[in-house]
Amino acid sequence: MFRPPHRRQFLRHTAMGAALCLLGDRPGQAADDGALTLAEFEKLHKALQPPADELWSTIPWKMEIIEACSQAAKEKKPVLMRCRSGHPLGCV
Amino acid sequence: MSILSDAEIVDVIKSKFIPVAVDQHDHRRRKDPEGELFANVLKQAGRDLEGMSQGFYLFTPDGKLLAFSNAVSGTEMKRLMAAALKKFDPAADVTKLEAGTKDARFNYELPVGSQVVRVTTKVLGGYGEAKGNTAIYQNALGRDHLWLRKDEVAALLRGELPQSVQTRLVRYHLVDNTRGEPPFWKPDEIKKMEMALKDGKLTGQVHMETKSGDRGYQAELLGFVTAQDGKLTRFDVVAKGLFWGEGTYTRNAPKGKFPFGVALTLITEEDPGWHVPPGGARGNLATYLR
Repeated sequence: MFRPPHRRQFLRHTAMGAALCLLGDRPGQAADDGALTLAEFEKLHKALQPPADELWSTIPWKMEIIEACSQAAKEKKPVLMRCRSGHPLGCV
Repeated sequence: MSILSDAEIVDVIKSKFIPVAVDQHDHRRRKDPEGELFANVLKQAGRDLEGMSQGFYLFTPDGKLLAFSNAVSGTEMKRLMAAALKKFDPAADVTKLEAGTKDARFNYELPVGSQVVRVTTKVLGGYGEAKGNTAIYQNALGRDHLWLRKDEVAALLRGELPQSVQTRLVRYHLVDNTRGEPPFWKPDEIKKMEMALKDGKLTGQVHMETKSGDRGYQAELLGFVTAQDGKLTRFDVVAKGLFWGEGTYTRNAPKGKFPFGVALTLITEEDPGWHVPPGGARGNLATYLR
């Protein structure tokens, strides 16, 4: 059966268009977008652990000022308050 | 060297003072005796609730200021503590302070049966050479904690990965908090969130991006979840991918897209971070835990 050229062209373009749609939109995809390996997991998880010997974490911080004042009164000591934006014990 | 990594300073804090750590964002807003005391201490330091309040404040057990500084050096910190101790009279009468009713808006009690996961983040590349304090920030670990509700822990024990856990992890913890307080992802900024938990192995892909495209993160996830005696014993996950952009309080990110990693690690009650509220819970724990 004779098909005019424009129809063959139309079908070819439609097929190409469908193939492109199936590939999906992947904007900004990283060049290395494969799944993480166990070795990568272990290396990264270990590298992101805080040092085990951080001295600030050995300080017995209170999180309420009045509670600190109450203990300070019992022990006859002054209070030292560290004030930050974002909790000082939850961020660097 | 961070002030609180100086052994001599830490030793003096532990032996001579009662230390307390607060987030000024909450304390400046609290309508309770705690907030009033905070405001009173700031006022004595010549500050108020509208301006800068970060620093070290040293005061008597009834809130009379002894010394204050936004100390940035160990030498200054030692001088500050010495000055306060010199002024302090341990024999002086102290007016007892009452805690009263706590402002409910800032009550971050860890729900019963919850478990806590430490979250650390790091820029893995992309910075140029830096020195001094800039280098400290660029090499720093961002830190936060992820709270898991009792029912979510139960689901994880059954081998399920609740949608609520996925959303909370993505919105509040796959963020660049290495240089300051980060913007969290809005629900419509989550372009892709595909995670699965099978036989204790967690895998996933995420893509978050602002509408303007000026900030985003695309990453792969891999982790391991184990349990024993009805409790999680391991919730170790990493995310690794490319981040771009910065927030209002996290300026000076590397240019363009840069490698960024996140690690999650289950902690126990003995960890100092157990009761520290997540950054995303600030001012609204209920929304964070939803």
